[in-house]
Amino acid sequence: MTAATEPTAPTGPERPGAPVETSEHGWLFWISFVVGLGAMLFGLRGLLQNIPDSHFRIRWAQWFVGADLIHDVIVAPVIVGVGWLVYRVVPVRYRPAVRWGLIGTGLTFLLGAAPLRRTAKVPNGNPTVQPLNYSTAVATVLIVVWAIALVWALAVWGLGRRDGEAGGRSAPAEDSDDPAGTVRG
Amino acid sequence: MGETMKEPADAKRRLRIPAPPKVGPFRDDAFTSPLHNEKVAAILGVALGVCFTVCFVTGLISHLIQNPPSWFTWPSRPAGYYRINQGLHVATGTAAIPLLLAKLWTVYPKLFAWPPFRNVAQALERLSLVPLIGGSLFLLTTGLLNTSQYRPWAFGFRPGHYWAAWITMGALVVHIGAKFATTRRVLLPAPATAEPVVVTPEERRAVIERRTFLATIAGAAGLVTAFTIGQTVGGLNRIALLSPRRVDVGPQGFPVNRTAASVGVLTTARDPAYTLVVAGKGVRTPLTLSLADLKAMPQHEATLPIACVEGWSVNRTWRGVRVRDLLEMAGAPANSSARVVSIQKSPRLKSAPLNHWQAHDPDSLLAMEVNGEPLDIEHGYPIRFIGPNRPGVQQTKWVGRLEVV
Repeated sequence: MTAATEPTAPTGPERPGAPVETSEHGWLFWISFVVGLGAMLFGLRGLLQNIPDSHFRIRWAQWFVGADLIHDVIVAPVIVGVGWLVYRVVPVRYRPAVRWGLIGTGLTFLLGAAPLRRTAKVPNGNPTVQPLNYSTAVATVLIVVWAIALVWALAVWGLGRRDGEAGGRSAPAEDSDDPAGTVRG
Repeated sequence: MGETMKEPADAKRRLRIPAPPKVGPFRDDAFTSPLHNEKVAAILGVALGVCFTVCFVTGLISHLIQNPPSWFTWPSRPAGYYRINQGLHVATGTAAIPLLLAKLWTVYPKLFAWPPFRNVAQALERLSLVPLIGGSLFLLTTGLLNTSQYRPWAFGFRPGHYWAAWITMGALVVHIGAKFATTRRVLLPAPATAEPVVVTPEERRAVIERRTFLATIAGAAGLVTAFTIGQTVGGLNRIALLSPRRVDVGPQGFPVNRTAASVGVLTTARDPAYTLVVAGKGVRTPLTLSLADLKAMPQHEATLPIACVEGWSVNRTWRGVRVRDLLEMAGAPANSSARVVSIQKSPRLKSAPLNHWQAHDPDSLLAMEVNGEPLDIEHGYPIRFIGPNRPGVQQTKWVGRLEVV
């Protein structure tokens, strides 16, 4: 590998387990805070003017805050849990391929959720909305996603074999599990 | 760096908040993946910032076109711009879904950081994350479901989505102000040093894992785009498997947004006594024209897109009478504005404004044919308005009146 393609050394917070981000609260922050707060208040005023009914305002707030809560309390822990499981079960070199497959699967179901729900009823009596057989469509996309994952895993396997033969060993040492035994969420 | 150096000063003002027990996500070693990393967060943040800015600007343009304030006049050219605008709006919103989920996962450990804030500025910044994250998820969720015409909320989509976008973008501006220096620091190349850089195997693996992860997320964004963009990019129509529309499916080979039955025109639109009235402010000779009268007038052909606010769009060739010819025939004042009014019973989207550019554009038609066939009733038979550079909801179907305003 040439120097140009060599990964750069991680420094400071790039180390595993280091803090994710830091913030700086200088003059730029305070200017952006004033501008951003103005936009937020403008949006809130527009919302109150254009959704005058308190019932609908409450429904809006439920969706707005609920989306955040559902993510933090349900979606994110599930993703962390699946990540933990992959970390425990899948050898390290195949994890990227499996991760791709799982992310692709999740997104496919996310985008396919509303169309899949449609099977019982044509939306608004309009047959041109969601006109496909979405069970087949979703299955087709999943086949594409996992075919890519399989090719990826096979490529990794092939490269591992080649490197093993060239170096006189069968698999890279990095196949070992996390020595600390910690959650890789 | 800034936070670390300010630590002693901040500590004097620090609130005494009891620390949670070191269990579950509050454990110091709860999240050890190298992907919970400020560089990953910064790269995903920049990508999201671009997507959200494109979404916001295109959404703002679409909103202004549909609710024009006095200072805003939308031109009728370029004819296909609105198609690009709305295609971009929906495509960037869709591509932002994997980016947002990846970003939220990357920074998830920060949710459990203790103390939650160290000073007033940090408290404000963290407070702004509620509208930022809630708003981002709200916008992408409601936007995605709206494209499928599945609206399980009670409030109106348009005001709910549009004003939430202002709140979210305001919170995003605050977030950018707080993270700008950090993002700049981690994304710009580090200054060269005389000392050789020692890369440990663990650090090397972390960098490779980070790059693989980012490539995976980019691939995921590409995946959702590839399987949905065909609703507006014709060549990819056949692989639009996750798109709620197929632009080749529907009466006369393209979709409809509102059916004739849903607005109660199945009988009235087929009435042999159907007439078009041209009247309004300053009109010298109000007109009442039968379909035969309209067909006897000079016909004009234009190839224009139907571009739905929900993201699908398709080009078709329309044939009919120019609006400007009708205005001239009725003796309307020069450069007058107008509006087209449907015969539909439902008041929602019953009429659409035509500013002076749109009313006098040579391609603004009251069309009676599409692709060489009489309009299907679902596409506005016997007469629909079609004009350049407009959202589909303003291409009014089943037109009964052309009013000068």
